[in-house]
Amino acid sequence: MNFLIIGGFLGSGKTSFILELAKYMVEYRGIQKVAILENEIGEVGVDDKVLRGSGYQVKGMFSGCVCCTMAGELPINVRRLQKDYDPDWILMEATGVAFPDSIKQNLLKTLGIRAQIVCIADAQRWQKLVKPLGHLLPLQLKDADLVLLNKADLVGREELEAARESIRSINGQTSIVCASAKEGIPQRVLDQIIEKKEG
Amino acid sequence: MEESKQQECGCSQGHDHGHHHGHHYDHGHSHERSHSHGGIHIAHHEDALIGSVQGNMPGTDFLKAQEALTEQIHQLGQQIRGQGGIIGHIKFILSSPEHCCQISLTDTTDSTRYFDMDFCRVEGVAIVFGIEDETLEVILRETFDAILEVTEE
Repeated sequence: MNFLIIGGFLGSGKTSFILELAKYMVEYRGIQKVAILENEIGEVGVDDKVLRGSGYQVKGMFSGCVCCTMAGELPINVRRLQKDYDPDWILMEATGVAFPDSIKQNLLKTLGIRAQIVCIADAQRWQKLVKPLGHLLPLQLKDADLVLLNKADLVGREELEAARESIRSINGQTSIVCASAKEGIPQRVLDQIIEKKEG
Repeated sequence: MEESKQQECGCSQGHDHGHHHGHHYDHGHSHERSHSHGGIHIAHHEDALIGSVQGNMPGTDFLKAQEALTEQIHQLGQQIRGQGGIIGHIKFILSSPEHCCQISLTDTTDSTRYFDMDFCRVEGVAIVFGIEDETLEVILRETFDAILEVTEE
């Protein structure tokens, strides 16, 4: 079983990315069983309804973040998904305030699962958010195996390059790929994620 | 009635939490606290404030409900920015009833009663930074009292 953690700030496009990746996995790569583990910090599930409505197997975890108060519940829910559904892939959408590396370490320590981390960054809001939330955004991106700089079509070239450089200064090792709803995610990137399999 | 709840930290850092409720960036986690009042639930996570709302919007015209809810969400955003807050994400689900029935069982016999529901269901969350929880609660209540009967879960 393969595990992908999708992190990134609120509203950056994590759910849209999951939908596109899951569709690609099932329709083009012949991956039979894709399950989605959805962690939402609010009391009510919003994204999980959207994901369920798209026809995927979804397990929701609400009212907290698996980085801290729900850390103990994460391995329980993963085990439950494995037992009930036996997925080929689990795509885990972290909350928009989570630190993906904490989730990765938890999975490794409790279940021996080596997960990949893809982080989504919002090109349109990056410059506006990186200063006031400079203690959160870098911690989210610093351990990502891949960063998707999303909404690239909504900003000018200079702003896009500035965001890219800012992210590069946080994580010098990662690939940074631009994406947008209009252009979608490059197929080679989706293949890279599927073929890499573990971080 | 207001209730306060301090959640036990579920992390495995192993340090003594005592009675501290601050943020622990060094350890990569934070205590959370929350309260509910009149159907609006407010929680903290790190610097984020999470306001959850659930309620019923009278009427069954889905498009009209969608327009009204969209308008209120914009107003919500405006009010939050007006108070100096930063919007993380505001997202709501609106659903309209198409088929409703009650199914009941007495002993071994079931019966079904069909009826019309005269409201749409609204559930959502506003995750924001930089404002006080009382301020967010007031903004949410004032924004959604106009169109919803806010309900306790």
